[in-house]
Amino acid sequence: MSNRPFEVVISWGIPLVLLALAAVMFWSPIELDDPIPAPVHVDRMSLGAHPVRVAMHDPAAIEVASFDVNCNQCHALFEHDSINPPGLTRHNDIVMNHGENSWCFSCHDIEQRQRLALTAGETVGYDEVPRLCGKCHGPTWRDWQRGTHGKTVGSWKTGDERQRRLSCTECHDPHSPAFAAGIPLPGPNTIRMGKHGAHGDDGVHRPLAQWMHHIIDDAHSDGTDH
Amino acid sequence: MRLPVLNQGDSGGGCGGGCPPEPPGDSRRSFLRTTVSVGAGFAALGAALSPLRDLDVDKAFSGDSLLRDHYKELSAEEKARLFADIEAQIDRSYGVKASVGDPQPIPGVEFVYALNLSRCDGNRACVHACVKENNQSRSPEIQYIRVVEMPIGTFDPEHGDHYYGDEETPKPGHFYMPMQCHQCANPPCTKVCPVEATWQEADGITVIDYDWCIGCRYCQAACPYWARRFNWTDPEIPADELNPDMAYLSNRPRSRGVMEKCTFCLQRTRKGRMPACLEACPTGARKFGNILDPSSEVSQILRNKRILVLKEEVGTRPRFFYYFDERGPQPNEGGAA
Ligand code: HEC
Ligand code: HEC
Ligand code: HEC
Ligand code: HEC
Repeated sequence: MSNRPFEVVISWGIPLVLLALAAVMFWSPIELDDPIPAPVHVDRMSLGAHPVRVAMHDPAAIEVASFDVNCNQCHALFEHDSINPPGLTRHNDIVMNHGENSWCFSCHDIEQRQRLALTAGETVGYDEVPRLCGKCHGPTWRDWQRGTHGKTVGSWKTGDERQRRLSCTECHDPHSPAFAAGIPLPGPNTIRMGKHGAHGDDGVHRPLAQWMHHIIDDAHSDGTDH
Repeated sequence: MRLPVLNQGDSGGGCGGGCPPEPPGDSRRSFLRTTVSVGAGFAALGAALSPLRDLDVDKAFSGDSLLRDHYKELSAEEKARLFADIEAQIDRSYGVKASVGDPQPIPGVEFVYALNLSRCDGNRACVHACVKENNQSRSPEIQYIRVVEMPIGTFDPEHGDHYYGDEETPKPGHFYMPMQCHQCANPPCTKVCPVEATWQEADGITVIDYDWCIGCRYCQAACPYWARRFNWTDPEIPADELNPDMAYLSNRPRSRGVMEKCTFCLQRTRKGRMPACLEACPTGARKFGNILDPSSEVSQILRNKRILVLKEEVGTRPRFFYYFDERGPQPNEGGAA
């Protein structure tokens, strides 16, 4: 009977503590920080099979005062063969950034603006742009014909009628063909996707490292970014 | 006031009948103590069961789908019933009329993926097109494709950065390597599954039966390409973003506690279409097709291009290849030409 007070503490204390814990679990009055970040919002329109740009087709035309005007409708009216036209009075929206290939008539036929110039006077229409590009970019054109450059959409089955191969000008602006750099769509935003040793060069697996990283970043930037 | 049963231990058994009779105060205390203990026990039980409050009866499957056979042993009628069940359940929880199909491997077709590392610029359109097509959870986020940014001249995905994104891509001096399920011909993930919930199909696609999966995550540990994902919580997908064109073994909604991964969009590709990631890629770095067809793009690539097999040394024999373009001398680059 000498350890009576101790026994009392044990026999009353433990159930009471358990009861309190049960109450906490049941009503959860403590607001726990949710480690699941809110979903990111991505412009769903950008995720379809749309080409990067809309290419021109035959008969080639440009919009003049909201009318579609064929190249020849103007160019048949005058003869113009300036070797390298700086400061055009028309088409001054065109910015050439195609390396050394800055001469209009290495692509446009000098006589017939409705056509594109291949070698030795041969011309093709705007539907056959790959042949134009191919005259200078042989290896890339070969790759495109095999399907290893550019893109085929619709179906993987050879000969399926849904299959369509994008033309060069559906991705490249012929006047400024390099792809523009851009901000990528959002990256992974969950602590559970950390790859092994993602942030530890010492090889230690720290799944929470990225999460901590965000907290620290946010504190530094006053939460203004992202 | 005495509860004979509950107090047995105290009065009788404890001292073999030789104890002095307990004073009344003692018995009241022991009664109270017992009551509190029992109360605490019930409260703890209640607390332990409290997650059941969140159980959504609508989301629970009917007994039919719980007590069924393995997918491969189902008859056509059983499948039809099961899929109708799933469609009804999707309707209940999302209000979406989905169609759950079961496209089969096409004879004479073995799918292969090829990815052009010279073209990928890390824009992540593939990642999000995949999420959208395959009904991955938006919160917590599940993504099948992981794009790793690495400095040119290195090749160490373990130390690459897959969280990049504050700056414009392609970042000078860096290249981008998207990684997803490699659909191995010798897959370690299916071998470790204790319940055969994941297996390789005839066209090379490794699939998971989400209803059969017990969520042990052995497959996730076995995968050398970090391609498998686990549903830690109930996946959350806005109903208006649910893709209703579903297949049983691929993009139907998953539940908490199961694995998932890329299936080469079998709900599309087994019907002749291209995977969603390929269609969304603006650079044309992604190529897909039938390796058994010598004129297919992927056959051309494997014949003509320089190919990289990721972690070739582990012997998984992936059906996912990386390739490069040769780059001739560039006129404006000093030293070349
Ligand atoms: C509204 C009339 C008009 C239309 C339509 C038009 N052009 Fe022109 N274009 C001009 C004029 C005017 C010039 C000469 C500008 C100068 O020299 O300042 C010109 C110049 C050019 C030049 C520069 C070489 C040169 O002749 O000086 C090219 C190349 C050209 N046009 C291509 C085209 C193509 C291709 C189309 C059709 C897609 C087209 N143009 C449609 C009026 C037009
Ligand atoms: C690399 C070959 C190439 C060169 C060089 C080139 N073009 Fe073009 N140009 C094209 C192609 C191809 C198209 C069709 C564009 C499309 O499909 O969107 C085109 C379209 C046009 C158009 C009609 C569409 C538009 O954007 O207005 C005009 C005008 C034009 N070019 C003018 C010029 C002028 C002026 C020059 C010289 C300063 C020039 N081009 C140099 C290939 C070239
Ligand atoms: C008359 C020859 C010629 C034609 C035709 C031509 N190119 Fe080019 N292209 C060049 C040259 C020259 C360069 C510059 C290479 C350099 O400066 O490094 C170039 C560069 C490029 C580049 C790389 C740009 C960069 O900055 O990385 C692309 C992409 C390209 N061309 C696409 C096309 C497309 C698409 C067409 C067809 C519409 C085309 N080219 C037609 C000569 C041509
Ligand atoms: C699906 C889009 C797409 C199509 C279609 C496409 N390209 Fe490209 N091309 C690219 C990308 C992406 C790059 C690499 C980015 C860059 O250099 O700007 C590239 C690079 C190039 C280059 C630069 C050289 C190199 O190897 O880096 C040339 C030249 C080129 N393309 C020519 C063509 C020609 C010619 C065609 C048509 C026969 C074509 N492209 C069709 C997307 C495309």
